[in-house]
Amino acid sequence: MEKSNKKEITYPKNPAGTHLRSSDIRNKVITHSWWEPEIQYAWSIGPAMSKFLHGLKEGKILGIHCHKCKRLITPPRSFCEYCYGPTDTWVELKDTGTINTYSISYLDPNANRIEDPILIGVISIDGAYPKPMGFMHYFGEMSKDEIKIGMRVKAVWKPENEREGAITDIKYFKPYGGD
Amino acid sequence: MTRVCVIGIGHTDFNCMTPDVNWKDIMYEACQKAYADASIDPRKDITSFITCAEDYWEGFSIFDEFVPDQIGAVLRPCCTVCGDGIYGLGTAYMQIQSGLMDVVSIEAHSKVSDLLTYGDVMLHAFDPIYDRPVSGPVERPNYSGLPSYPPENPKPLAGKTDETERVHPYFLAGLEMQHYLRNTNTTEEDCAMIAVKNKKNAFLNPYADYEANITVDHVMKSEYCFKPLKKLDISPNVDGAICFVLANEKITRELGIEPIYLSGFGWCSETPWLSTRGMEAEYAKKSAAMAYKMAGIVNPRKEINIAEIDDRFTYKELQHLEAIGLARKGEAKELLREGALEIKGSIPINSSGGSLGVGNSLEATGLQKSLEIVTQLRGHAGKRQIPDVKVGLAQSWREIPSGSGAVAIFTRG
Amino acid sequence: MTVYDVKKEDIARVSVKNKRNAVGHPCAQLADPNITVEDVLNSEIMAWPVQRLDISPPSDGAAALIYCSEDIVRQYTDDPVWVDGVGWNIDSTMWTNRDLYFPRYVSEAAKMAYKMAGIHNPRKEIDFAEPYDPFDYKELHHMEGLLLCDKGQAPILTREGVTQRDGDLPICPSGGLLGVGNPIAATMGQKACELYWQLSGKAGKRQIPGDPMVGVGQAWGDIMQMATVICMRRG
Repeated sequence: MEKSNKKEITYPKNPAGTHLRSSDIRNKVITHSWWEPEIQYAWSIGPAMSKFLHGLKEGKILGIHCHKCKRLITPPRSFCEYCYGPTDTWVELKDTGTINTYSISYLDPNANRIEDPILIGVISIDGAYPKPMGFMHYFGEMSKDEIKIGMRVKAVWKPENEREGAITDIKYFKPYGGD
Repeated sequence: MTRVCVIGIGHTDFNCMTPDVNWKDIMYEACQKAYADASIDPRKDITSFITCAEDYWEGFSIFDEFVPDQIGAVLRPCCTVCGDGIYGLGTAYMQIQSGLMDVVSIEAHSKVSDLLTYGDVMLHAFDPIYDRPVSGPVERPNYSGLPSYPPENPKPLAGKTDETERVHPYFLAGLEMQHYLRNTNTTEEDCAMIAVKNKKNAFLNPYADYEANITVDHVMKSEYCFKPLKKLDISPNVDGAICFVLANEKITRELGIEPIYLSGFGWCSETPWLSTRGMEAEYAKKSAAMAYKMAGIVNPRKEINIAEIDDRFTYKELQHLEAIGLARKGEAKELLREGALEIKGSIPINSSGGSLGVGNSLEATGLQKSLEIVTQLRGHAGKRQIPDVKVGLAQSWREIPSGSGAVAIFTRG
Repeated sequence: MTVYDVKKEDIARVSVKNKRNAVGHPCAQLADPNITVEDVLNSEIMAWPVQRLDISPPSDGAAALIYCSEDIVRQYTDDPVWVDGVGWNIDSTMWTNRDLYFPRYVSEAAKMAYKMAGIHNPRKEIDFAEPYDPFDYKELHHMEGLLLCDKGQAPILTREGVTQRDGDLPICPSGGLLGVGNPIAATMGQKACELYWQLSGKAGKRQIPGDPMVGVGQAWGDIMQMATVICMRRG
């Protein structure tokens, strides 16, 4: 840039930052504009996920085959994302599985502290393949010191009259001694 | 440099409600049809995937993450363009012409029936400091003395009490229409003729959802929504998905496909300052100029055979026609009155039925326009086929409150 | 951690390195010349095994770069930094149906960028890297995804000091997100700016010794599924 025959591009050097706290916004210490959008959606679920949710209402975990890729998929979908073909043949899976990975969570979405941490993770559901194949859920009836990858777990269902066709019809997964 | 060709198109039917399928299903259907149309396997042959989507329409932040499975893009280069489908075509064009990609899939869709608060999402696009506060909640006392929500008029699922009414953001179209009518000596009846024409054209289009046999009188007697804008001047929303596959010329020839070239495109954004920007669709003028230059078009009125012009509001078709140079300023209404814009006219506009006849498919609008042009260029438009079509233009606008738009020009080989 | 038997201490070393590297970065939020591994391991637990000092903060910020074509670049500079390769890749939305210990989407994006840049042996040809480090373990994960080391080796290289600014393969010499801050969508801009500064010798106190020739930057997004990669070279 020293040479005078070059076009100069000018820019501010090292612009400094300023500390800001959320109380500064609340107390209107800084000028700001506030808006609460009124935005709501109601998503259609589609045929495959609807059938899965109906299954949950009946206390069943359903899977569907992709025969071409030799997959038994859960949560089910109407097409296989690997071969791009349609899926076919519904199967009822067991409500047991293995912890694939987990985390012990101490914060809520706004980063407030939760005293009793939430155990959350991914369960590989028995019978579905190839591993890992399953979904995310809570863990219960175990302490944060007991939980580990590879642990066997079983679904704890809500009572039948409280189920509404949602992933939360399973309350959580608990330790499971059987095979 | 290679030329860029359209080798596949696919689309769902367009419907005002689609409660039976979710957004993944309609994307999958459109893409599957486009890949079959091009006789390609997306998992082997497509090198890049693009979806055009706006997070707020979809209801997900980072919609990008919900895209790859249903378009065949798992573990492939894939990106989301936050804009109209023609921006996606442009991105694909650049990827192919630079030699980076050979075959590119572009998808856009609308699942607007999942969105319960369309007007509020649109209002959320207004400037939060200057424009939203004065177009948002209107502080007004409830004079009637009656309960806010009597049984015959219950509180809407989403919406404020009547102490804080909101103006639907389409009022901006009312402002612009007022300006356009006065500036060009166009009448409300002229605008009504656009609705009549496009909804009539839609009868000939099997996938259109808002075909209607109406007269100028029907439109004129429909209720004022944002005077001078009336209910039938407004294109109603629709669900649907469209997919395009573009490829370089070599692959197109190898597949034995008669090329239809994407020969030019352009895009432009005006400032978001609503009150200081012009109301003459400068974005359309500039994007068309860019597209004409790229396609080597010197006299658009003579060289372009058909066009699909953004008609989300009736006056927009006339305004855009003038902006992109298919009519002189104030001349669009003359062409309309002469019948030049009809399917059998000298420059047919919106033979598909346009957004007034097909429905407003949000970010898919540009691809819906492009779909009609390619279908006409292929000679596959059935009862609405226009003879000897060689060059067609698709134009879209990113709707209220934007001053953004894009143009694509397609040419038969 | 489980698949490769990685120790928390080795993950914490990433955070320590980056927060120390950030000293001298004019935009750094979390530079700390005196931080230790013990500080990280003793910080508040957020979502075990992730602790407060394992995490970068969401930050306000913007980054901008100006590209120009080769035809006119000499009007502006005699020492351009070239963008040699870019790559991007996305994996399935259904993340609970795939392995999470190796980020395939990163390696696919990296292969695309390396191919474009003519890089055949990334470990030998790349002098330094700015992988995405919103959490300290992600730097390790992404080094492996970028094919800069074997699977499971990134923690070992970190422990041995290879990834320090004066090591054989400096990683996040800018201080990364852990030291500078995480400006979400501007992150790749931040990474690319650092590549430019390092490759043009303008990184000041953060300058990597020995005139690095080739750098790679990487960002990550969506539900553990999307990566973008950029390769730059000194002119």
